[in-house]
Amino acid sequence: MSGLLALEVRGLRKSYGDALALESLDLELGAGHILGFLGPNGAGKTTVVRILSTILRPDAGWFAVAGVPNSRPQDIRRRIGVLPESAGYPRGQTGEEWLTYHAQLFGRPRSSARGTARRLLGEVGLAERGRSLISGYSRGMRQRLGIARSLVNDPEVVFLDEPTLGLDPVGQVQMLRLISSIAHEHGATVVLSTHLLGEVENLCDAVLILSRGRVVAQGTVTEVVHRAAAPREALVQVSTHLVERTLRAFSSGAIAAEALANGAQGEVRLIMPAGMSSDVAATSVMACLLNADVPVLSFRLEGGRLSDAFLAVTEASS
Amino acid sequence: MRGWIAGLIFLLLVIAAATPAAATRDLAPASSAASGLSVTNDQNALSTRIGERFSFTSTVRNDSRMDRPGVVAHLDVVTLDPDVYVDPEDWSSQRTEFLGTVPAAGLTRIDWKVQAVNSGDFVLFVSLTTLEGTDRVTTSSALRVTIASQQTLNAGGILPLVLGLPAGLLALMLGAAVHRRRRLHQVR
Amino acid sequence: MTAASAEVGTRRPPWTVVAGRELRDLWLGGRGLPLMVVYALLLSVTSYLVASNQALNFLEQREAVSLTLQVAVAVGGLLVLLGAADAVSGERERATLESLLLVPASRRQLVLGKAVAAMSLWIAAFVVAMPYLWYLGRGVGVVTSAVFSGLVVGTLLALFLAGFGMFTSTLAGSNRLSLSVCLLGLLALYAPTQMPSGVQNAWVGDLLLHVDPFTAGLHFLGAVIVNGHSFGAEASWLIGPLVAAVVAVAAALAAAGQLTLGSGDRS
Repeated sequence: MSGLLALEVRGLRKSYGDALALESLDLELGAGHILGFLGPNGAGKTTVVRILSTILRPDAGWFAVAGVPNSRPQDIRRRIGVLPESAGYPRGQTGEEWLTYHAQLFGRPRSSARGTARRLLGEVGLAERGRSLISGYSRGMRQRLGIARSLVNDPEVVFLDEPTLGLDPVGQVQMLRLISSIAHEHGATVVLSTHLLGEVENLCDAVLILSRGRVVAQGTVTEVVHRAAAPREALVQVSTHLVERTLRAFSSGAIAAEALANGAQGEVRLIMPAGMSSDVAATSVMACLLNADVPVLSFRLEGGRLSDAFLAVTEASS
Repeated sequence: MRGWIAGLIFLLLVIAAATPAAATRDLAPASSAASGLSVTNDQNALSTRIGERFSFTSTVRNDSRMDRPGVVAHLDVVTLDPDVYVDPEDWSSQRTEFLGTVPAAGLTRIDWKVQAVNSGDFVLFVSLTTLEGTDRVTTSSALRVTIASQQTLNAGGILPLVLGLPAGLLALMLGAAVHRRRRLHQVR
Repeated sequence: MTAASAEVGTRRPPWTVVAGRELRDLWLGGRGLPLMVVYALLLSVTSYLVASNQALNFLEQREAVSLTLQVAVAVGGLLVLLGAADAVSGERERATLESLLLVPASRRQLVLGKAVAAMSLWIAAFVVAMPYLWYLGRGVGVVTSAVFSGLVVGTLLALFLAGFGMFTSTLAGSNRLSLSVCLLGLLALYAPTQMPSGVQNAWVGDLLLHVDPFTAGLHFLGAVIVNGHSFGAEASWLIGPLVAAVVAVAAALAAAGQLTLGSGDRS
């Protein structure tokens, strides 16, 4: 067991009766990273989060969180923070009371727990509402309170299960900033289960995509996009009379070209070979057009984003 | 002389026992002499107050020379006031005693525990019969009971308690709610 | 960052933290005081009728004390049962259980803390009943025995009902199921009191009355308070409640060890 690994998972498997929820999960995540945990609904993300947070027992496999093996669930819980999916909140308590309670359950004396609660309420932007009943909180405020709850024990690893679920765009941005601060200011490793692929691309340095209980892609965002071999396209605009020459320029290479009949005048669609990176694609196109002596009016590379990879790998697995 | 009388009685008993029941019913009323069984109470009058419990003892004798199997004793209550309704079940939960066999020339005692449920004048009596062999019912003499009414508790005296305690709790509840609401509103 | 708390040395046992929170929720923010107001009204009505109504007034004071105490024990037990039946399944239904399961405390400690809060309903019910017992029983020397026997019987029954409620609540998938099973169980416990007296006097009936913690407990109260019997003479009637309390609490703790998120834990 490496001390540098925040998460180490081997052969994790879970079924609910006859339904296989998780086939076999292997994962290693270094400390301080943010892992984007992706998958369509029912892929098994929440199952994984619940297993790793010791709420569920796996049928098979082994894991360690923050260096603590799964044979010591209480010690794991001491080192993790979790925002469960669709978590409920006690309506009759104030945010401060609830956080103080949980801080005490993590072993803090009452006065220290109250201090922790107030500090965290400030961090998540709820300082003014800390002594209001939770029943009066908006959805976004409750999610932020849930984030604060996940930090009461200064966790080494934080699991956030759909933290942006049900939030408006402004709320989503606030939440993602908050998540970023957890990693950068608290120094915690973050496992972020979400559907916001664009934000994962910007925020996460590792990605794991689950589909039907199986890992279909894993690695850095670039690696996943590359391995996913998602089809990508480019649109190049040239002078109208140079369209034919452009098509000829790509006729013998790996890149296929076709004129867009209903597009803007002089637009040519280029289809890249699977697995070609953005840099290589752009360089190849430009080299080809330069050799053919075709001036480029505009060039737009499409595809090759995490969302494309996500669709490619999840559709392929289904 | 006594032996003769006893022999005569015994003879009469044998005859009575052998006589068909219908004929017996017509001819002879139930009597201790007829069956050899008799029942007496240790008291014939008592006074008490409503709600109090009292007890008395009945003695069942078998004056015959034969064992009397399957003897059953039953306690009953009769009101002497037409306006008072009596449910004997309320007076005693154990009003029937299965005594089994009362040996020849033997006796059995029964302790009755009774609660005075109504006020007024009442008569309690004990009846005897047997499980089989005779249709006779033998009764004891009356135990006359006079029960005085009384107010065990003062309804007026309890009013401060029965009103005050819920009111106090209600005030506590409202106070707690107001205190909490005020605390919450202070920071909003 | 070190996750393990540096304040481990000063940490309170988790069950005391849970119990403290639950007690505050119950008595300061929630149902505890309203329930006690309703309960006190019930005792008030009972006591006033006993003291004033001609039909009920024939009861002698000892019976009045016994009746009031039996009402207190029965209703106090009912409140404990309802509190315990909601304790875990209610959290499960309100989706707050997962956060609780994520704390580094054993499931048993969590359940124990909640059971303590449920038991507080009995303690409060008993305290509220004491002025009534004192008023009804003064002058006939039964107040002390009534308080003591009521405390013993009521506590045994409350422990039994708390254990039964927590056990059911831990295993039930929904709050409705938990409450239904608990109330059905309570009704079943009252059933032997409705047996014909002939059956009650037979050995089967007698055994049932002894085994059923409710009938046994209430019989003990009647025998000690009304008939003035000694505790020792009637001790056999306490065996049923005692065994029931031990078994129910043990079952609740065993079930607590297996406490899971419940049927909604699939994603």
